[in-house]
Amino acid sequence: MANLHDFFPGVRLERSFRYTDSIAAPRIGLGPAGPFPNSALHDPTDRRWLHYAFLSRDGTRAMVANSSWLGPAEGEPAGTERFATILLLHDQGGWHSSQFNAETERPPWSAFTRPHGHGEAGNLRIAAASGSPAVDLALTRSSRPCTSQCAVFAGNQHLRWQSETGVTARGRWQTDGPPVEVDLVGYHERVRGRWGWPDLGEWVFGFANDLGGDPDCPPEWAGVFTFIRPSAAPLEATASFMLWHKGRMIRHFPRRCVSFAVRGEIDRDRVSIAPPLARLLGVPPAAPVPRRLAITARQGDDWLVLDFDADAAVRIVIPSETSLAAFSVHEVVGPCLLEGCVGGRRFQIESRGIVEFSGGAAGDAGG
Amino acid sequence: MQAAEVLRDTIGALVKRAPAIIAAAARELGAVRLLLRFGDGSCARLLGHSSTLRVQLSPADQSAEVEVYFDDRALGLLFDAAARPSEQALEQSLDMRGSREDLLAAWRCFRLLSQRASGLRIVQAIWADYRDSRAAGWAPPPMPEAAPRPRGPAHWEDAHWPALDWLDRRHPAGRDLLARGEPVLAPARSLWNGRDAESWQDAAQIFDNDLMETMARCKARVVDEILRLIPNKQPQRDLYSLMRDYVQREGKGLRPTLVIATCMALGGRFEDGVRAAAALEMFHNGFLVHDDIADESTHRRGLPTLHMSHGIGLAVNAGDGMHLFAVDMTLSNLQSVGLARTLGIIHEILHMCRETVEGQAIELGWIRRNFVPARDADYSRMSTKKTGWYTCISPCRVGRWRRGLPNRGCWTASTRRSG
Repeated sequence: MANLHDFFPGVRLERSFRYTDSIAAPRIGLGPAGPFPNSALHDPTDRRWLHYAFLSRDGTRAMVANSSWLGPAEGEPAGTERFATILLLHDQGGWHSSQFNAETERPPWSAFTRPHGHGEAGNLRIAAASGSPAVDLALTRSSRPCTSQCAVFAGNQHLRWQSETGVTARGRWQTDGPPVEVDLVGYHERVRGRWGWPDLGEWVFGFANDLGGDPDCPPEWAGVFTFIRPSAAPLEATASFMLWHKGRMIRHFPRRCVSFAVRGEIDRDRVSIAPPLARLLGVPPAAPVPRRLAITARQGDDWLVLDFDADAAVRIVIPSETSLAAFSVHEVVGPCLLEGCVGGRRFQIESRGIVEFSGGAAGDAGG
Repeated sequence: MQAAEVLRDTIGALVKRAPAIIAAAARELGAVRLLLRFGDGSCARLLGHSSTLRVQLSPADQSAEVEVYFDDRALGLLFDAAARPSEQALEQSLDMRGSREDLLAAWRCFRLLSQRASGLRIVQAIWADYRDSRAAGWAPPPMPEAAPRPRGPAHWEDAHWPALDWLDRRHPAGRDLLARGEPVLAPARSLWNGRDAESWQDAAQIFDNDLMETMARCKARVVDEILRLIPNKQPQRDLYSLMRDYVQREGKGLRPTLVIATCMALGGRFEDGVRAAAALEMFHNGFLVHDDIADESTHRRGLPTLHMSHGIGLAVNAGDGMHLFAVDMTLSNLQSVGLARTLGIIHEILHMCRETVEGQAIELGWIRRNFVPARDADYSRMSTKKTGWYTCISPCRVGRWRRGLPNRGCWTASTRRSG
């Protein structure tokens, strides 16, 4: 049963607060109370993620990593969680990917789950079970996160996320050759929710950082954008663009104020498949990945344009718990231009970005 | 290039390449004289004359039954099928003045040209050049910083920067999109405009030029592969150079495209289909050489046939050699795809050869006996055997085998229909 403390946290109670079954599965179906509760996952589609995406300051390398916790499968005792981590590195040799069983600390570094001060470095070590690819990085926060956002769809399913840009990473990078020292900057995100991939439909996520400037200071400008389109109910689609300036989020352009458009396609030959074992499973081909993405936003007198060109892409094949077709997350890197006007001040950066074009699980569900 | 010159070039190209369309447009226009004024200041007169259309630039006599004003937006909306403006024509974009009947005649003429000519490759090429030459004009206009805007919630209609418009009409200053292979012919697609969401996975619309470009790429890659596999040894003059020259002649590249496209559609990669496509293309060339001798043709692909330029003996031998190398190329798949798939491909190609020679025999027998089949079905059977199998059915089936998927009855039926 829910109690008074659930709704009025400031009220003193006779007994201490504890999670109950009714709190874990509340009546409104949006998951446990609080944006990112440290509570057990109960449903097979309950998920918790920590996501990392970095670009080297010289623009030649990109790193994407994801640690995920998934709720218990049917028949497993409540509270059982499955943990998986995948690491993808991109350099001049192309994409290097681990399987979903990359080794890392549990839990890995996070600005959210391991709060610490700015300028304090923490380690993020991820390595494929085979030893390569691998990274051993010292991560440092330089900025502040956005407020959390939530997309609700298909009745009681939802996806909640919170991003922080301006995370710097210095350390060793290992692919096929000897380890190299790298200097990266990027963003970190946490995700919590409950969804099946066919109902989620598809998303376009991404970020762009100003890669220049003082490496010990937050990027001058950074942006994170989101577009989620549930397959069964396109009217539940949502979109946003968040803009950071010197480490603080200064503008949030909500769904009515942004537009997304794509043009062209990346040659299928240039899209790698990850993890490597996916090739053995004979996954069906995915839709061509758009080559160019433009996002415009306007709110009042403020406006911005992001123009992204893809020059490399990898398709991460994710098994779906609720459908036969796999969910595909295409990690795409390339140059981008971000320009706009905020508070009467014009700005323009030419940088690189990482974009995710995801979808495909609804292929066998009529979505 | 000015708009009037684009119109002149378009009409000129259509007169040469598609006179039927011009004749139909001239019939619609009748005796109406059009005076066309464009937003860039150029001017032209369009009039019908003996089943054709004539364009006069900057005519001295500007009297006309119908006077039309186009700006860039209206012009593109009508005729530029490859990159239509993302928005409707504005109120002042198009103005037509004249009597009701003349206006309707002019509009029927425009509509016919728009519907039947704007998809042609030659027209798309002219309009692509026109767009490229005006790329600088698509740079972002200065923001109206000084213009007062009402405070409050943003009204999307008032925002002049929808992403679709950005991709269609503008690009960042100083970035040479053409040099980077920007797909100028692919139209932009909206994913989200503040209200409506579309899937990024929706297949892009295909235009004639995209198909032609794809076929040219497939053909070029396959010809490279064939040239790599033809030996660089003697006898060059009487055999290998004949083969090398023949495969480089102008051709559409339909068969290689079908092999590669089928392979890719089933999840394969471009390079996976190249070797099998090269084998089929070599078979095709060998058939053509022999077919030209049997038909006593004098020209093939714009040049004298092989037997006309080198004699029947050398031509027959070169055709045999092409067939031999086609088998060799098929067998060269062994290392990359394994024995089972290679045998499957060989089986398909043998079947194709049998169908082709049977069809050729039927046709040559009819010619020899001066026989004309009474039933359409007999002719259809002959053409399917002689041409359909090795033009459409077998390339698709070989592409499917190359991907490692055996063919079944339904596949044959569907490809036969498409063939």
